[in-house]
Amino acid sequence: MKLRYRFANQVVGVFVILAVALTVALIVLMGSNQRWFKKNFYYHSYFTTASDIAPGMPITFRGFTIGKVTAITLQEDNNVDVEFYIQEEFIDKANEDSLIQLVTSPLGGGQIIFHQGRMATDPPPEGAVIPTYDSKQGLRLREENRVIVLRSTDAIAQALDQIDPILSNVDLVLSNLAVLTDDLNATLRGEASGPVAGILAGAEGAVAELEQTVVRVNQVLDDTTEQINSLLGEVEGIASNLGETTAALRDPTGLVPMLLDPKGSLATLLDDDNVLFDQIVGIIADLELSIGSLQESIADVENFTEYLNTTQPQLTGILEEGRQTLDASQDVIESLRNNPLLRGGIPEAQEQPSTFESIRDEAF
Amino acid sequence: MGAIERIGAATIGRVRGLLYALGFMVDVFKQTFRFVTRRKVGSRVLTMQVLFTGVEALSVVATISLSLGAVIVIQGLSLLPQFGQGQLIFDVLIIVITRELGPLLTAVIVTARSGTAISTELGNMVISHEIEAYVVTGINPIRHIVAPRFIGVTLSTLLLNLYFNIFGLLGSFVVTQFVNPIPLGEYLNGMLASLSLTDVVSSVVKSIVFGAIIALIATYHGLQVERATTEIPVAAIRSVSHGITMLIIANAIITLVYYI
Repeated sequence: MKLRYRFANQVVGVFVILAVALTVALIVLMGSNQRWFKKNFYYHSYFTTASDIAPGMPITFRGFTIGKVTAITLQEDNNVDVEFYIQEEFIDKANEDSLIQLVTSPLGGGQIIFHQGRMATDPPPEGAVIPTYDSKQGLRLREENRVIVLRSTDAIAQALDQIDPILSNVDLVLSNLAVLTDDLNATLRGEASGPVAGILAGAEGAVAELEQTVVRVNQVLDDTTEQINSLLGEVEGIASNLGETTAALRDPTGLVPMLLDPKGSLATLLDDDNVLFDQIVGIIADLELSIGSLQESIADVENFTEYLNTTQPQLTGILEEGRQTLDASQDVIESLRNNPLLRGGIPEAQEQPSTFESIRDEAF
Repeated sequence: MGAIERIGAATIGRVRGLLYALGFMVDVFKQTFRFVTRRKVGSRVLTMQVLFTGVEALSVVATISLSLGAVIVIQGLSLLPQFGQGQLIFDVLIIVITRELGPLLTAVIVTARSGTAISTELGNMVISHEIEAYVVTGINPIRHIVAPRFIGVTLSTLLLNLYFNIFGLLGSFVVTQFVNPIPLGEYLNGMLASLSLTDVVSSVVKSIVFGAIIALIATYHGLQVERATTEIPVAAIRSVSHGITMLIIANAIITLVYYI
C-alpha cells in the first residue's frame, strides 16, 4: 500500500490546511497593503471636465501615492465633482493652500498630483474643497507663491506644463479682447459706462465747458480792455495836464518868473486885490479836482488789478483743465487710431492693371 | 417511422433526459446535504476523492500555473514597458491567473483527470451490478457514491484553484528574477495593490461552480451506463466534452455577472 494512501487523511488535511492558510495569509496581506483597516480623509475638487479622470486614479505627492479618486459626479452647474481621499499617514501633507492638478499623458493614463501649501497649517476639514491647479483660486495661490509646485521630470509633462500657462494666458487674452471689443463698441456707441466711456464723455463735456469758458474769458477780456482804455484815456488827460503844468513851470516867461518878478505876478498878487490869488486858488482847486480824479482812476486800476488777481487762479485752472482734457482726448484718439480692430480691417487692395498684355488678349 | 414522429420522439427524449438530469441534480444536492450532516460511512470515500482529485493533481496544476505565470511575465515585461505601462503586469497577472484562466484551467485539468475517472468508475460499477447491490441492500447509491465524489471534486477544484493562484502569482516572481530582477517586497506590494477582494471572491465562486459542474456531469454520465462495457468510454468522452462545454458557458455567465 502506497504511503499516501495509508496516510490519506493526513495528506488531505495538510493539503486543505495549507491552501486555507495561504489564502488567509494572502487576504490579510492584501488587506494590510490596501489599508482596509486604516482611515481615509475624503475631500472634493471641482474640475471643468471628467476627461482623463476615473475612479481609482492615484493621487500622488512627490511620486508617492497618497490617495485615490473615489467618485466623479456631474453637478447642476456643469462642474465635475471629484471625490477623493488622502491616506491617514499622509494627511499631514495637506494644508489650507494645497492644490491638486490633473496630469495626463498623450500615450494614455494620467494621475492627479497633489501640491502642498507653503504655509504649515492644519489639514483642511474632511469634506472640504481643495482647489484645482487651473482654477481661479489655484491661480491666485500660485501667483501669491503660497503653494509649492514641483516641476515634473517627464519631458512631455514639462512641455505640457510650459504650454498650459501659455494656453491659459492666450485664452484669458482672447476673452479679455472679446470683452474689450464689446466694451469698445458699446463705448463708441455711447452705451457703456466704463473708464474709456467716462473719458470720452468727460472730454466731450470738458470741450463744451471750455468753449463756454473761452467765451466768458473773451467777454471779460473785452470788458477789461474797454475799462482799461477808458482809464488810460483819463490818465492820458491827467498826464497832459501835468505836462502842461510842468511846462508852464519850466517856462522862464511863465508863471514862476512872473511870480518872482518885482513887477511880476507876486507883487501883483500882493497888490492886485486878490485877483491873482483867486486865480491861483482856482488853479489849486483845479489841481485838487485833477488829483481827485487821478486818485479815483488809481483806485479803479487797483480794483481791476485785484479783480484780475482773484480771477487769475480760476482762469489758470480752467486753462489747465482744458489742456488736460485735450491731452486725454489726444491719448484716447491715439489709442483708437493704434487699435488694429478699429482701423476698419485690412484695407481693400487696389487692383493694379497689368501693363503686359498677351497676344491672346488682343482683339482679332 | 416518419420524420415528424422521429422529431417528436427525439424532443420527448431530450426533455425527459433534461428532466432526469435536473432531478438527478436536485437529488445529489439533497443527498450531499444529508451526507454532510450525517457523514459516517462515506468519509473515507470523500478523503480518497480529495486525494485523487486534489493532491495527485497538484503537481500538474503547479506546473501549468508556473508556466502560465512565466509566460505572462515574460510577454508583459517585454511589451508593457514600451508603452510606459510596466506596472500593468500585475493587473494582467491577476486577470489571467486569478479571475479567468486559473479557475477554468484548473477545472479543465480536473475534468480531464477526475471527470473521466469518475465516469469510468461509476460505469464499471453499473456494469458489475454494484449499484444494484446498493439498491437491493437499501443503501442510497447517490448518498454513498455520488455525494462524497460531488463534495470531493468541488472541494478539490476549489483548493487546486487556490494553489493555482498561489503558484501562478508567487511563482512568477521567480521567473521575474531572471528577466527583470525586483525585490520581493516591491513585487508583493505591486501585486497586492492590484489584487482586490472581488477578484478573490470571483475566483472562489467560479471554482466552486466549476467543481460542482464537473462532479454532476461525471457522475451523471457514469450512471447512464446500462449494460455494455463499450458504453464506459463513451460515457467518459461525453463527461469530458459536456463538462468542458458547460464550464466555458458557466465561466462566461459568471464573468458577465461579475462585470455587470
